[in-house]
Amino acid sequence: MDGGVDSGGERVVACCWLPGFPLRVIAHEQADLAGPVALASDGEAHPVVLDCTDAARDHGVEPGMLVSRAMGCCGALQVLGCDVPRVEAAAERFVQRLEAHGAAVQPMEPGRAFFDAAPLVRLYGGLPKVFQRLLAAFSGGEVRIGAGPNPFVAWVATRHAPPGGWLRVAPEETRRMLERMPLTLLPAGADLLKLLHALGLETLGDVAALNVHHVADRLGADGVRLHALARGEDPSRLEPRIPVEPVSELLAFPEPVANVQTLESAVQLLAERLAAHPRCVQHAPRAVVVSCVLATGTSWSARRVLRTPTIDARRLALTARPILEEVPAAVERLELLLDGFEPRAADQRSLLGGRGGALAAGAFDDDAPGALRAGLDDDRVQRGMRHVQEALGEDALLQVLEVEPWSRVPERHAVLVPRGRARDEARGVRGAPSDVGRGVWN
Amino acid sequence: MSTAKMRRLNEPVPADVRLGADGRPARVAWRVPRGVRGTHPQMERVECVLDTWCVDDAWWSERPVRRLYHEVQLVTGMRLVLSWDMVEERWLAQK
Repeated sequence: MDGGVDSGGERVVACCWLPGFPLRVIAHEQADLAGPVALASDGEAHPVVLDCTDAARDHGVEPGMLVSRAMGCCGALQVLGCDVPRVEAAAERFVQRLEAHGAAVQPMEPGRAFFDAAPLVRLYGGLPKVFQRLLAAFSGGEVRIGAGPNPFVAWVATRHAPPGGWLRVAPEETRRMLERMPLTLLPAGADLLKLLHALGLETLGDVAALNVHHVADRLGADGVRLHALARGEDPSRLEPRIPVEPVSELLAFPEPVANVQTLESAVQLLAERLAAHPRCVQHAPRAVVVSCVLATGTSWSARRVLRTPTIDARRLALTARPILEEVPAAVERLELLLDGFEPRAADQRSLLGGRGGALAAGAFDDDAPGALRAGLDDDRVQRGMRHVQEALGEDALLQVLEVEPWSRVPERHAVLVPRGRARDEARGVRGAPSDVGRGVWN
Repeated sequence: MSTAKMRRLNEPVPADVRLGADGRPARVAWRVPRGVRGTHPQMERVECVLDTWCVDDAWWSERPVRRLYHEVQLVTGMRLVLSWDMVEERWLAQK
């Protein structure tokens, strides 16, 4: 999709962004964002601040900070727990609004999405009208749109677009625009940014002015990628999602039913039917909607968002059951609807983080949530390896451990040990390297 | 320290080595090359000898190591370490 062109024959990648999206969603009707408010991670022993308002920052509260410490910085701080399903449901609506206007959208983290603006130019009669139309779809006037020849430039433009407005950077203006931008815009880890600062580099222009061979020697492939981004070159491609229509199953009772157990049985039956739907072969729903036509003649419905997309009929029914207790009257017709379908391949996430290239989820963020997400990725890998070892035994996952790399006897250079114990073994073996040669361990 | 599940990497395997006029390895058969039918290792020509060294270690143990090593490069470009085991009097090969 990134090969699209506008009337001027240029590639136009656009980014639509609502800053502080999770905080805004959770704080809606709960807190005044003009005051000191912080969004905290939920369900952790030591919750940390995920995001906070400017008023909280003025008191020294920062994302990534322990909530207990943040409370110490600001006594009036209002802390809200992050309701992940609620944020994800809102993020889905954010993307659907863009799609409703014809955009092929690649969602990133909640409240940020890329799309190819070129195909919309003819539909709306020019880029300005495209952006105005999309901005008008969001109330509040805080959403902003940035556009450029590639995703990185589009994201930088978005960061500098006015609230409720848009900013487009033409290809010939890219280098000039990026020149004075801070290094923190680069999708690099804190250590690498610290190193770049230590080398006396302050802006993207400083990085772009370096010789690429010197960068490759000093920083390797990561450095070369950042150097290209600093020069406004981002080879990553947009991968828009394919919207999938919801599916539903209906059950009409011969007479109105008020018994919850009967309704639960009906929901189980409908969930099994839906799980066998052809659409569930390649896609899994993220939301379950229970709709009822009541004996009173009115209709009633409730929606629940799943923590992870699933096609397991038992889990779908378990999600829908609590809704049944809220039904206000006897039910004549019961409908179960699955919505928010996602490709099931998405379950197999990348081991090395993100979608690859500079478009890694959260990679553009210079704030703590991005860093936290990277940590989760690492944790996921560790968890996966533990599962493999628990299922297949400790020997199923081995790790090469250097023992005596300096030895003139080649078979003493390295050994294979079960993964997870490698660190302990390393300490032990390195503590007594000559044991290996004596065959003590063999 | 649990040591029962450690496995050595790059254990030497028996090899058939023919020496050249200078007394150094000239040809070696140590494995069945990929894509070649048969079960017997085929002779591969040594392009050059890169390094030679001698190890006399663990002489106090039941498994002493007394070997003369030659790091060689085959005509295929592969590097190999050949060693003459003076205890068992046989040629060994490893990567």
